[in-house]
Amino acid sequence: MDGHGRQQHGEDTTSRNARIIEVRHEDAGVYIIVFESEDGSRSNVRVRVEGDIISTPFGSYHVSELLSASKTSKKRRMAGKGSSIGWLVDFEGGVARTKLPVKVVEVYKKPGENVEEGEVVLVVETMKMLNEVPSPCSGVLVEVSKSGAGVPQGGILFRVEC
Amino acid sequence: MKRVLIAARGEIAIRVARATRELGWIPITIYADDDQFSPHVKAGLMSVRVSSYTDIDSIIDAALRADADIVHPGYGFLSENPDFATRVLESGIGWAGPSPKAMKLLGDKQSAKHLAVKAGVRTLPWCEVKSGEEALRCAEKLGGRVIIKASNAGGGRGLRVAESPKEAARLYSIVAREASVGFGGKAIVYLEKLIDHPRHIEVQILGDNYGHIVHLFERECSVQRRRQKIIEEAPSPYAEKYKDVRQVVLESALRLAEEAEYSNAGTIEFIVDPKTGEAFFIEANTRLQVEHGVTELVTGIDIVKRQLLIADDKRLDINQEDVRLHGWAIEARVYAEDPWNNFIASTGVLKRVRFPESLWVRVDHAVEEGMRINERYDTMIAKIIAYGWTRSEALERLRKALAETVLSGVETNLDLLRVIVEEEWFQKGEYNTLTLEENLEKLLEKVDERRRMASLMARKLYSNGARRFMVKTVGNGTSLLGRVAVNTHGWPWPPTTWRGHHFA
Repeated sequence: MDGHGRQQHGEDTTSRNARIIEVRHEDAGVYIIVFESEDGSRSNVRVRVEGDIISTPFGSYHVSELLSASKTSKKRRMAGKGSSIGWLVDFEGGVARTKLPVKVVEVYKKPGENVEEGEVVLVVETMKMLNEVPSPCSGVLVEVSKSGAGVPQGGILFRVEC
Repeated sequence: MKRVLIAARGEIAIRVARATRELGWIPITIYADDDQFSPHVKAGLMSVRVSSYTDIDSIIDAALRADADIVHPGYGFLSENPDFATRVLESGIGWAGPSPKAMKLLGDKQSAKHLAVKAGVRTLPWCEVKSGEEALRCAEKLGGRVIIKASNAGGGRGLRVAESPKEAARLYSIVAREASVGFGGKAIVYLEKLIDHPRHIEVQILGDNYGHIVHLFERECSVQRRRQKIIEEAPSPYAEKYKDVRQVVLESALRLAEEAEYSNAGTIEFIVDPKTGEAFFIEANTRLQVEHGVTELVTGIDIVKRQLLIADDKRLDINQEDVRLHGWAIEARVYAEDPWNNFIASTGVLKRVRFPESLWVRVDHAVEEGMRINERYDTMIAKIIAYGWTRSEALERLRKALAETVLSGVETNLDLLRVIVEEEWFQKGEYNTLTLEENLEKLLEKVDERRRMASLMARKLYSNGARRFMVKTVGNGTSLLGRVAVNTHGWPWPPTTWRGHHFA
């Protein structure tokens, strides 16, 4: 860290699960924050408060970005993980619900048919993109929306008996 | 004095309006009903309402009512639509783009490939297919992984990768349908051999209506996520290392442009196999590109201004030997997208906006505090372009510029960009079009950890229980003992050496 709280080349100041053990007031709006990581090693981070903007070695932030709890919650992190269709379709049990209004453009499977886990059941369109929606589990397809149908946000695309 | 109708919105409309004013001409912008308070509207001397940015009739009507001499389409929307260009020209208005004939020839991926073969430019092995069965046979013939594309694909649509011939057959129907849903009209679907971990290098060309064409060197746009460009630079680190590759792409681009009798600004895109150094032509963009700024910085040539002059039938005042590379430029695109939620568009009101201000940093944007980011339009908020004499200098300036930037109110990829520019593969210029995606999980974890630490610090300093640490802060600054620290600068002010000095 240089004298202005800016990160130097190659210096990794982030450490897993580090916690703050001391805040020192250094100058007008300038603070030295001492972090201690799990293994007991300490690192000093110099930040500067400029009104509602806080300058850290990781970049400048508006405080509102940092004080809202949702930003760093693990739950949010998980939202991006999992299947590649997770951003569009919610799977709960064997029910596939859409998170955005979509149009069903093609249905590959009929009710009563067996489907494998990961097998594509239907194709939906949103934002001019076509997306294949796979079955979340192996089982029997109980219910499926019709080709050409518009499904509102939260509507059911299909239901699989797992 | 020419009157230029700018048929675009956002930062590019402002960019074109500036170039227009520099020529002493009159910029006229357009706006849709849900967009009338956006900053680009004010960039024009006047602004005309249109029903939508893609409604040809409405825009032609606006151009005629505004008595425009030239229409500049910016990028996106109708910029690559030859029908629009034809309508503009038929209305007796100049078109700041290539001729509709050249647009059709190069804009359609399939005819562009045929033209490339004619011009002796290397393309990837491919075949046209009309059914799933044909796709299956073609994929078997090409071998390995194949890419399935519609001839009018763009922005990640109408494009899929198949691992096996069987998958190719299934994906064929999706691509064919996507092409007709997204763009209207019948599209040709074709299969193409996939180059593993390629680099994306493109050549900027500029030509006038008298057959004089020059190239403005190359750009590299290999830092992508699902084919969406995130960071671009000029020159290309790869072409800088392997000068023969540069030679090949520059010559190929010029040959292709000459074969198409190209005029105005355009880009010829290549993918390069980093293992063999072979460059293959993939497509041409018959318009100004988002990343034109990096080329402008390293060549010193104002591309937009040349576009307008060429549309006014002026001769290009640049010879090839005048075009030289000076230094290095790197552009980072800030998107209003949520990296934690699969990069879905993020909407909201911008609460605080601060961009870096420096001689070496160019920021192209069209946002302001209090503005709502509309999900109906492009999610790009700003382009932050840093210039340096060497690549490492440009990179350092980009790092500082990104650190100084503040955008709150919507989720952005700003933190991700800050992490990318510190990665070793980026600093060394050793990356390909898949590097970002392959490292994304790791990068987001780093972002998370940095965010977590920043949040902890902010809580300590801003929460009520921590008042004993705090000096008095207001919206735009901090004061201590009557001395003021303002946040309009990206660096500490007053400087930390102030202690011991006497202030009046």
